[in-house]
Amino acid sequence: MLFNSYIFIFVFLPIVLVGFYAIGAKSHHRIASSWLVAASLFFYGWWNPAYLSIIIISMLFNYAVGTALSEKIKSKTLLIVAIAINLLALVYYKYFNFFIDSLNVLADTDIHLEKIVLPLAISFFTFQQIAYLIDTYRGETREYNFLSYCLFVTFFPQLIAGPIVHHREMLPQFAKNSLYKLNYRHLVIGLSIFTLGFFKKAVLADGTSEYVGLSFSLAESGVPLTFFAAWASSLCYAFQLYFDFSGYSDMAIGLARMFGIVLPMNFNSPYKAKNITIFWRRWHMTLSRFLRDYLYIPLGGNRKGKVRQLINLMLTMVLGGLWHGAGWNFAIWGGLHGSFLIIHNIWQKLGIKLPKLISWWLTISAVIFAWVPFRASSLEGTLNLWQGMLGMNGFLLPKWTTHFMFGLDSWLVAHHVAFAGILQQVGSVKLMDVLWFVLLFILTFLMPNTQQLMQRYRPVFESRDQYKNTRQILYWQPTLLWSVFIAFSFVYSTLSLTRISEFLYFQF
Amino acid sequence: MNHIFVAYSRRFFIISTLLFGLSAVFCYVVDPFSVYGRVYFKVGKVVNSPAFSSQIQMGKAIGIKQYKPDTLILGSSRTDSGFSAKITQEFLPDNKVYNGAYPGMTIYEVLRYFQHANASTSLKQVFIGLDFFQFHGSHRPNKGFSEERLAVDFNNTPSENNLNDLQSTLFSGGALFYSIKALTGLNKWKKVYLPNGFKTKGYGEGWIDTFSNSEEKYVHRVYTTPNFTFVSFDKKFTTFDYFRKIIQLAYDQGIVVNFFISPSHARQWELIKQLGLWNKWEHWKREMLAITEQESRAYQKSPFLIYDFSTYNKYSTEAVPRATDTPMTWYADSSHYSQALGDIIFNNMINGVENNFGQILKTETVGAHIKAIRQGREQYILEHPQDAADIKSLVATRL
Repeated sequence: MLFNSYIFIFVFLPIVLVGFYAIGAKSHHRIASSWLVAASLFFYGWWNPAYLSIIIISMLFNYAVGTALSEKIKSKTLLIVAIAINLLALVYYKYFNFFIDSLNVLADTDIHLEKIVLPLAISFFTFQQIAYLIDTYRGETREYNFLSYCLFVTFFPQLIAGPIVHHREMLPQFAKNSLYKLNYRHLVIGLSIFTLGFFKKAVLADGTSEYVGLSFSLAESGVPLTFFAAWASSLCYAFQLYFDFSGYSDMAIGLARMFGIVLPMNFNSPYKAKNITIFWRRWHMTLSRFLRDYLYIPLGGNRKGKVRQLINLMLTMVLGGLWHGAGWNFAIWGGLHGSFLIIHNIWQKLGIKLPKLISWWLTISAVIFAWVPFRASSLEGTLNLWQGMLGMNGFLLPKWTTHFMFGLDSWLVAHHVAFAGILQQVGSVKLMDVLWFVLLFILTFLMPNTQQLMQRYRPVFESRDQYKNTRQILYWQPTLLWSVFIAFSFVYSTLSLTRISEFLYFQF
Repeated sequence: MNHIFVAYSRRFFIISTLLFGLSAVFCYVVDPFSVYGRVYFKVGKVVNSPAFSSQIQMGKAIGIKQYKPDTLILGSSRTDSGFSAKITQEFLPDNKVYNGAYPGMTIYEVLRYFQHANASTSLKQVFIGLDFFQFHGSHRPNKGFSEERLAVDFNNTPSENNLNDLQSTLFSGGALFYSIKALTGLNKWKKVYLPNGFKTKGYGEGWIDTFSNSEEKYVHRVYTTPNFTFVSFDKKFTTFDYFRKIIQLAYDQGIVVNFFISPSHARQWELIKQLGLWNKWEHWKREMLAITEQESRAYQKSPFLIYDFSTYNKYSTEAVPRATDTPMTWYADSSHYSQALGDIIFNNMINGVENNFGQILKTETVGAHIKAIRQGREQYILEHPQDAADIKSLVATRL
C-alpha cells in the first residue's frame, strides 16, 4: 500500500491510529504496541504476503543474536557470522540476478535462472539491524524487549523507504508511557508535516514526471537530444527525484509523529549546498550517516593517510551507489560522486576559494549531470543525454531569436545550431510549463524546507541548530491560516492522485 | 495549549471534508467528461462535452455501455476521425452504430474494447480499421487505457471495477479543472464528439506542413521506438495473437467482423519503405489473411473479409500542396484521411468495391495484389520525386 493512495489515507491510517490510541487509553501498552507491529506487518504484506516470512525470520534471527551478544557471548566471530548471513540474504535477493546477468555479458556465458524478486525494503531493514548488532557487540545498546525491537524494525512509516532509523533514536521512544495517550499536539504536527510531504510527492514530483518520462524515453530510443532539451530533462528529473524522495521522507516523518515518534531528518535542502561534501550531508542523510559510521570509518576513514582516505571515499560511494540498485548505472552514479568528493577534497587542500554562487553552480551542475545514469535504464541512453548536455548533439534555439542574431544565424546554423524551438524534440514550450518550472525552482532554491518551516515544534530528531535558518521569516504555527492552508494542500494533493504512481525509491 | 491543537485539527477535518464534498458534487453536476449523462449543444446538435476527448478512453468505454450499440467501429485516430455520423444513416440505417475508435488504439486495445462491448451489449457486427503501427508490439496500451474499467478481463471473465473512474471523474484535480473550465466556458471545442462516439469533423485540410509534422512523429516515435516488432510488450504474445483472438471471439458470439486497412496517403507508405519496414508491412497483410483463413477453417464458417485500401490510387496519390491556397480533398496529413474519403470506404464495404478501391484480400490473389502495390510505388516516386525526396531526407535524420 502506498502512502499516496486512497486506501492508505482513508482506510488504513485512520483504523491504525484509532486502534492504537483506543487500546493505549486503557493502559494496555503492550497490546497497543502489538497492534502497531501487526498493522505494520499487514502494511508490509499488502504487496506480497510471501515476503512476510523474510522480515519475520530476519527479526527473530537478529534479535536472538543481539541478545546473545549483549548477555553471554562477546564473540567477534558470532558478530561476523551474523553480519555475513544478513549480507548474504541481501546479496542473494538483491544482487544475484545482477551477478548472473553481468557474468553472462563479461564471460559470454548463457546462464538462465528463475528471476529472484526483490523483497520490499530488504536494504533498509538489513542495514538497520546490522547497525544494531555492531552496536550491541560494542556494548552501546541497552537491553530491549522483543516487542520494542519488532516495532523498531517494522514501524510502518519508516519501513519501506526510510529514513534509516537508528536503534538509539527509536527504542527509547517506544519505551515511553506517554506514547500511548492521544496527544493532539503530535497529531496536528504530524498531519501538517505529512501534508507538506504529500503535496511534494503528489503535486510537485508527479506533476513533473510526465516530461521526464517522455524525454528520457526519447533519449533511450536513440533520439539525440540537443543541449537545452538534455539539460531540461536532467534538471526536471533532479526536481522530480528531490520532491519525490524528500516528500516521501516528510510523509514518513509526519506519520510517525502522529504516533508520537520523532524520526531523524533525511533531507536538508541538498540542492542549496555550496559543495559536494555538504550536498552529501544534506541528501538522504540517514543513508550517508550509515555509510559513514558502518563502512567509511571501519574501512579506515581518514585515519590511514590521504591516499587511503580517497580510496575509502570512492569505495564507500560506489557501494552506496550499488545499495540503490543492482545495476551498473548505479555503480557509475556512485563512482561519479566518489570522484566529485575526491576532487573537492583535493581542492580544499589547495585552499582556493571560489565565490559562493560559482561553487553552488558547479555543485548543482555536477549533481544534475550525475543523475542521468541514475534515471536512464540503459548505457546508450545515458551517453546520449550526456552528449546532449555537452553540446555534442547540437543546439536548438527558439525561432524568434533569429531576429536578434544580426546575421550570425547562418554561421550558427553551419555550427550545429538550429532555430526550431528550444525543446522542439520533446514538445512545444507552453507558458504553464515555464511557470511550473519557475515554481519548482523557487521552492527548491529559495524557500525554507519542511523542518525549517516546522522548526518551532521539533519536527525531527536532530537539534534545531542543525537545520535552522536565521534569516527565515515563514514558520508553521497552529493558527487558523495554517489550518486552512494545510487542509487545502491536503485536498489538492488527494485530488491529484487520479493516477497512483509508485515512489521512485521503492525499487531500492 | 492543547486546545489550540484540538481546534486546528477540527478545522482541518471540517474544511477538508467540505472541500471534498463540494468538489465531488460540483464535478457530478457539471460532468465535464459526459460520463454521467450530461450533454451539451453545439452547432445545433446534441454533443458530448468539450473535454470528452481528454479522457476519450474512459468516455468511449462508458459510452459503449450506455449507448448499447449493435454495430461497433474500432480502430486508431484514422478510424476515429475518418467517419462522420452520416454513414450510419446512409449505409447502416437499421443499425445502432457506435464509433469506439480513439487515437493510438493498438490492436491489443481493439481486442479489449471488442471484448468489453461484447460483454456490455448485444453486438451484430463490427468494423475494425487496421493500421500497421497498431501491430508494433513495443507500444504499450495508451496512457488513458485502463483494464479495470472494462467489463471483462483478457480471458473474458467479468472483472469490471469502476472505482478508479469514480475517483478520476469526481475526486480528481483533472475533473475539477475541467469542470471549472466547462462552467466558465473556457473549454475549447477542439474535437467535438456526438453521443454515438462519432467526431463532427475530421482533422482539416492537409498541406505540406501538416504532412511533415505528422511524418516526424512516425519516423521518430510511432514506427521506431524501439525497432518495429510483432512481439507484444508483455513478451507472451505476438500482436497477431490479439488479432486472432478478435476473430475467435466473433465466431464464438456470432458477430460479423469487417476488417479494413486504412487508406493513408502514399507518403505514409513511402515512410514505411524508407524506414526499411516494407517487407514487414507486406508480411503483416499476408499474416492477417492467413489467420482469417485458418480460423474460418477451424470454425467451418466463411472467413471474415479484409478490405485493403492501402494501395496507390487516385486518392492516396493526391498531390500535397506546398502552400495552403489549394486545399486537399482527401487528406489532413499522410496518416489521416478526410471524412469524404471515409464515406467512400463505407460505400465500398457495404455496396461493393468500386474502382478497385478497397480490394478484398484473398489467398489466391494476394501475391498479385502485393506486386501491384510495389509497382504502384515505383510509379508514385517517378511522378512525385519531391515527395519521395522529402521522406528520404526525413528518414536520414534518424539514421
